Amino acid sequence: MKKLLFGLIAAVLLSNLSFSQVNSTSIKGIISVDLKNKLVKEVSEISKNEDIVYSTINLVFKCSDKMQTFSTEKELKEFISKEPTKVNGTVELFVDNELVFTTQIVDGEKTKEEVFNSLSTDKKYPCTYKGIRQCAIDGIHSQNWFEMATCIAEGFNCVVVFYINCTIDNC
Amino acid sequence: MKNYFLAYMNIFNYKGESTIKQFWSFFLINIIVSSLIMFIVKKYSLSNYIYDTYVAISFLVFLSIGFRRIKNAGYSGWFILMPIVNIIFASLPSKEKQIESN
Repeated sequence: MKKLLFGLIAAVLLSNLSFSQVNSTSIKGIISVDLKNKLVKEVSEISKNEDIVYSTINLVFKCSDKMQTFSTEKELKEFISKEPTKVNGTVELFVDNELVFTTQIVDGEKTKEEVFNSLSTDKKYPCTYKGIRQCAIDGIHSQNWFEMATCIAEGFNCVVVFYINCTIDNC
Repeated sequence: MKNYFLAYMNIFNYKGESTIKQFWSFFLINIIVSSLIMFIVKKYSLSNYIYDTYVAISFLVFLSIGFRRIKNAGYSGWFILMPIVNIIFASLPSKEKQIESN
């Protein structure tokens, strides 16, 4: 009886494996950027410099019902590269496990896209003197004309406010 | 804190004079309040107009109290419009004290 049960379970598992379908694929990686948001590629530079911010990137493609079925992820990737005009689905971009961008693909063309604000509120600068200084400089330069005019007239006051806020945000 | 509110009550007063204590009390408390408002606006994704309104009002107060302070130091109050120079002039002792020390 036991043998029969094990045999049944094994048969069910095997049948599930043979009919399993893949309907998504992803590309994962790590990107490193410096204080001015420039990509850093050299490994020697990354290991030496602590003012570099690392982020994990995950690009996910999910097939829609319109697309044919695939048994392996490799097959799906090959289909996307060979038949880009027949691709239907959604593309999602995650940065540090947070959804920052999504777009819908219909017959190989972008139809809807959405950028989420979470990207801009993320920590952008390392908690070092250089990082805080760069954050304050960027903050001052990103002000509108009115804020900039009062900032120039007030001088020290405005700079200190930006330094305090950058410290709170990044440390 | 009393000097901070006193500065707001004299927002359009360019005739009198302000002491070093009054000016720097306002200056330092203004830094703390500005930082706090900027932090709240950023954290809760509020409209930037809240921060801009505070900056506009506090700037008018800064102009008037700075004008009175520099006049108290014995120079033309219009120096308040010159960045960096305004802070240096606002740090100088009042003219009475300068005469006393001479």
